[in-house]
Amino acid sequence: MTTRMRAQPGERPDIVSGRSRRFMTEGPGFALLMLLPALLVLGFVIGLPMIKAVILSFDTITFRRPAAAGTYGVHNYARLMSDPDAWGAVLRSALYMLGTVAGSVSLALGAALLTHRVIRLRALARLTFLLPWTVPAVVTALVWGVMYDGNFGVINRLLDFVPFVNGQDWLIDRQTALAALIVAQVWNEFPVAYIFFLAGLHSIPEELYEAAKIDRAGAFARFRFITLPQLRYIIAVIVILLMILGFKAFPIIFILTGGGPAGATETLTVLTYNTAFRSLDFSYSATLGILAVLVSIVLVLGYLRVMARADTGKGGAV
Amino acid sequence: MTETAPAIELRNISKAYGALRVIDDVSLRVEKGVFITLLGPSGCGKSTLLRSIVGLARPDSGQILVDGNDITNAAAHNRPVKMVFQDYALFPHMTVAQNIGFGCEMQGMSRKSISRRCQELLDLIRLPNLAGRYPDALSGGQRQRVALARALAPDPSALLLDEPLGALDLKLRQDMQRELKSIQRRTEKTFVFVTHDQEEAMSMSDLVAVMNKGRIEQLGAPQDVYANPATEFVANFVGAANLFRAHVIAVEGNEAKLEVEGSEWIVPVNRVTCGNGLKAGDRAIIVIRPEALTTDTTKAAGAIRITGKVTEQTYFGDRVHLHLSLANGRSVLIDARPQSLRPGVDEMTVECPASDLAIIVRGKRTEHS
Ligand SMILES: Nc1ncnc2c1ncn2[C@@H]1O[C@H](COP(=O)(O)OP(=O)(O)OP(=O)(O)O)[C@@H](O)[C@H]1O
Ligand SMILES: [Mg+2]
Repeated sequence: MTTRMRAQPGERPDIVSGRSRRFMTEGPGFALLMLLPALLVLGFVIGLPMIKAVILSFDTITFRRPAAAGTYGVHNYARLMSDPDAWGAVLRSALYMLGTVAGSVSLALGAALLTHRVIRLRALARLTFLLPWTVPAVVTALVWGVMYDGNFGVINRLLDFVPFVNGQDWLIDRQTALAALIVAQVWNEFPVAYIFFLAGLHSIPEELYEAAKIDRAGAFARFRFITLPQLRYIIAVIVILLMILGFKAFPIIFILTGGGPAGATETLTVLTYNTAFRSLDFSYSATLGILAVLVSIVLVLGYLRVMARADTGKGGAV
Repeated sequence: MTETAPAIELRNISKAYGALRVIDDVSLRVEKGVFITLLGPSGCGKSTLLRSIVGLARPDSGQILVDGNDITNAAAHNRPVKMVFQDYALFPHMTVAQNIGFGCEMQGMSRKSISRRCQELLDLIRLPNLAGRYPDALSGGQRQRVALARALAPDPSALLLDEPLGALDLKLRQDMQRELKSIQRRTEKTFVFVTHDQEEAMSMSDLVAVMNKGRIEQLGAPQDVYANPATEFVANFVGAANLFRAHVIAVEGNEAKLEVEGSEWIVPVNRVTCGNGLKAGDRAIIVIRPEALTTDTTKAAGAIRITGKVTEQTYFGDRVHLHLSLANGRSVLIDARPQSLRPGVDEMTVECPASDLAIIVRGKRTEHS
């Protein structure tokens, strides 16, 4: 076998002398070799904690029964199946995710449509909408916390001027707490979508609008028949990205309500945290974490699918 | 009244971008069913003029009438004219049929009549089976035809085409020229066609408007523009031309005696292309087309004879180009049959029948120099 490959004139015989050598120097093995350092680092950083978490989720490390540590089994998963708090948290995560996605996408699209044709004060217009993104989530939470305050928050002070509308304790009222958090999150994250939409709008050839105009399409028809279809992949990608962001969201919820009042804003991430660090039930927390990972994987798969479609069918049928 | 109104009438249209006058007092009447071409170099304002007619640009002054109706201030979507863009501007997310039907749909036509109209147009552009294709699965020529069909679908009063063939390669371009012309004939629509390719303009148009620096320098049938260029610019831009600076010594009856770059020529006065004839003291430019110069000297009376040294001969198969260098140092281009190629010949006399030259009057010599 090894003699089948004869050195060709002009080739260096020492490189092609053996098949295994060849495999490692230019075949797939070579690629693996080159990737090895990165794979090792990734393995340590991502793989190890994952494995640790999976193991933990089958263990019984909990403050309530310290002696039970080392008892392995599926009891945490069994508990998860029938835990109304857990499924409530999943529902709240879903609501939070949908709320932030809807809010961010519409706000970002509106802002992008408003500013993409601006010529004078262009930088200022764009900066205005990008600014919230530069504010760390923690700071966002603190600022909105102050604004939502029932007594001296600016929101209630402003509402004093609106007849028949009363101020609320936004974060303390079960009815409004989740929505209030969603607003803060949207404010913080919509610039991501805004940038993408702005770029998307710029990539639509002006001639398409002119052609549509000549064909009697008014402003709304141009939006409906040109802008939206031309942006559809960007919108799809952004929606899924924001779903992932919204599902994982933590700092804003944690700082503003910590899951309260009475669990009204306890999303899966917050529940996972609270289970670990308030109830000190580490194994069950790991189980909740695994559930979150599974949901994330589904979302990421959706994302990859959309990306693949966007790459292949740039203008055609889907 | 509207029966006899021209399809398009422009009255003193002007438009400036900043200090640049892109369209400078243009007036034009285009009768119904005419294929007119705006011909001019890049940047002379052709697109701006088309865009003004269709409503994508707003002239600073002047009036635009379509079928006798003033549409100067009408919005683009309310004008009865359609436009075909150079790079097609097909909607990439719509099928061919949806593209073609878009205008009809916006007009609120019923689904049934839209699809009937679509099929009619697909037959017209000879792509009857491509209704379901998306534009990125079409060739350049097919896209161009679909763009044409889309513009024709809502049955516009006139169709404006902005260098529609610019992106096609030469062979396809020639096919599409014929195709376009035949579609125009069959639909009997008014076509306003823009190009900077003078051959394209010559071969397709009923009328050519030669534009330069925002003005129409000459309007006429292609043969007329070619044979009787009204200005130096037109003479140079439309076809090749040998230009001779001249000034008028005397005018006697039908003939004028000119001083042309050191020699004396007698030319017929009726070859003046524009203005009110020749007067003694006028400056003029004599235009002689390269193919008007023949190497078979007949010694006929009244022919212009030019003698010079052959400096260059370029062979094209059916034609040959000779460059003649005259005694005063200027060069003259001759487009002759290959038989007139005479290897080894150094000095040569060519002649041009006086009826084949054109005279462009440039006013009194004293005004200028
Ligand atoms: N929106 C605009 N703003 C400023 N200047 C413009 C604008 N549109 C066109 N111009 C200028 O007007 C002049 C005429 O432009 P136009 O597009 O009408 O030329 P054209 O004859 O169509 O040229 P081409 O053959 O290259 O298409 C050019 O000098 C161009 O730079
Ligand atoms: Mg142009």
